[in-house]
Amino acid sequence: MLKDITLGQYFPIDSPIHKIDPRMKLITAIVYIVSVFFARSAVAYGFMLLTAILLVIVSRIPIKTILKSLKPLIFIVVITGIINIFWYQPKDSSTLLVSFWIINIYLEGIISAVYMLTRIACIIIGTSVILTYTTSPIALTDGLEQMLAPLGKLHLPVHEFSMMMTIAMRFIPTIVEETDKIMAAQKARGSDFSTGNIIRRIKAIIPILIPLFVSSFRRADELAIAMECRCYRGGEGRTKMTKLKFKYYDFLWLVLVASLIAVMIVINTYLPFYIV
Amino acid sequence: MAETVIKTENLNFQYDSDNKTKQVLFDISLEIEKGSFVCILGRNGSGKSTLAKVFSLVNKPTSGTLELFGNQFDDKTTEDQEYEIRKKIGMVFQNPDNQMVATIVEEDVAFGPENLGLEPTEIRRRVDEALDIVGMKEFSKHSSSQLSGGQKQRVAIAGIIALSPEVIIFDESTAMLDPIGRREVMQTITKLAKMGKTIILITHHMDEAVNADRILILSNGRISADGTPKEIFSNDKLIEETGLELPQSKKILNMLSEKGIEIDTNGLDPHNAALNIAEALKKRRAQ
Repeated sequence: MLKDITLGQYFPIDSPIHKIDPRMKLITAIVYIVSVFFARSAVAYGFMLLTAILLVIVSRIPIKTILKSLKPLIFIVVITGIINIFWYQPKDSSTLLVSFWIINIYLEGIISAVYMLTRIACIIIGTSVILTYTTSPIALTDGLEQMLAPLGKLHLPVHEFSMMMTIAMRFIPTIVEETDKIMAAQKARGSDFSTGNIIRRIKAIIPILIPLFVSSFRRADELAIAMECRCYRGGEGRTKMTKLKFKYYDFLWLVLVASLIAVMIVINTYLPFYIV
Repeated sequence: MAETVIKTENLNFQYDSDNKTKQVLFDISLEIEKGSFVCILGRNGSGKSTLAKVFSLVNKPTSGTLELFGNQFDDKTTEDQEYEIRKKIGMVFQNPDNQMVATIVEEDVAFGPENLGLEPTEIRRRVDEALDIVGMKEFSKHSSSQLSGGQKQRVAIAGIIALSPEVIIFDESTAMLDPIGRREVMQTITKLAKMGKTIILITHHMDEAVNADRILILSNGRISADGTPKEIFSNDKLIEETGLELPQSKKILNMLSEKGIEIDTNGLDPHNAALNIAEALKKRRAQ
């Protein structure tokens, strides 16, 4: 279960998307999300889904991994789907499909639920392909640090923030591994995490959390000493092995993603099928 | 005579917590020469890790003198002075997971040189060189979670080599590894010793100590022996008193000798022990 967490899972392969400057990736990820929200007609949603699939193909990330990253979201997706179907506020033009007791299901309600699902899927696939799978965590935090650098002039701890992000991402797999180990150890002592009511299950988590916290604090302490021994003393006077530089390729990519918004508007205007 | 890099005189150290104090090191006086390979042995709680942390200025001596590269250090040492020393004395710790900062191997190795504020091209050169020395070049783009314990520890060593320190302290760096990982790390350490780095190896595995030039035995916070591996391991009484164990090869030779077989018991590593056994067999046949 814990192994399915995709945050910070970088795929070190070579693809056109891997080559893009991390700062540009951050910007385009936001632009991509915005463009998803511009979609209104069925054609537009279809087109967005197509771009998401195209992104996956271009990035050469295995489809299986992408599908796996969507798995933990099934719960959220089902809930939002149901809400969209049952709580749809009907207009005069709405078509009633089923009606019993106080529940009315409209065709538009189902359509809007499908749109919602497409939107969530597009956002998740888009951002994970543009950002997490194709950018090494350090490149990502470096990009963030440089983008936020102007805030440093206001005495905001930009370097510290990005260092924290780097370390947090570095330790995700380590902590996950540790949690699995502690769970196995507690199971061997007769703990039961999978039966009983919710309160019992929450109580069963406490014997996992306490050792996890204790060992994390110890890790943090050891890491701090190790960092000091490697001459770390904050962001001042630090250099980087790889200096970020925008290439014209990066701007081409930005134009490409930004034009999606224009495409969305055009499709919404000229092919307005099933707008709800 | 070679230059002295670490020198202590009547050094004491105690941990202060709340209103309790616990003295860990008593009256340590020693000198470590440049380019030597020194092994510090001792049981759990003998103070060997604490001593290593004194050398790298993580712990400051409570009393006595500590001289590193000819400069004295005490609790008035400034952060800048500490920083200067840490460029020269690198330290590799026990748990490889807790000393890696970045996810990707080469980015982690670059962490040290980046802190020094070097030019990007120079950082690149040092990272490649360090990964080459530890034999992890082909893994440079891997993420640390894909590596074995021994590989992670070698990356941690590369991270220190990239700082190009003169002294490298290994604080029980093999304790958490499996036999294969331990062998990999020991090979790297011996390689570094041959390259002329000063090595201080802290361990409780006797077999790792036999390659050292000099062994220091610490028991209950005091130096109880100081000599070459040959001298130390031929003194069976001393080994027993300090609660240590002889290296396996030496143990086997001693057992053979006890059984009344005429054999030279001075073979500390498997290779020499095998030679001695062969010699003894030859003698027997001749009789």
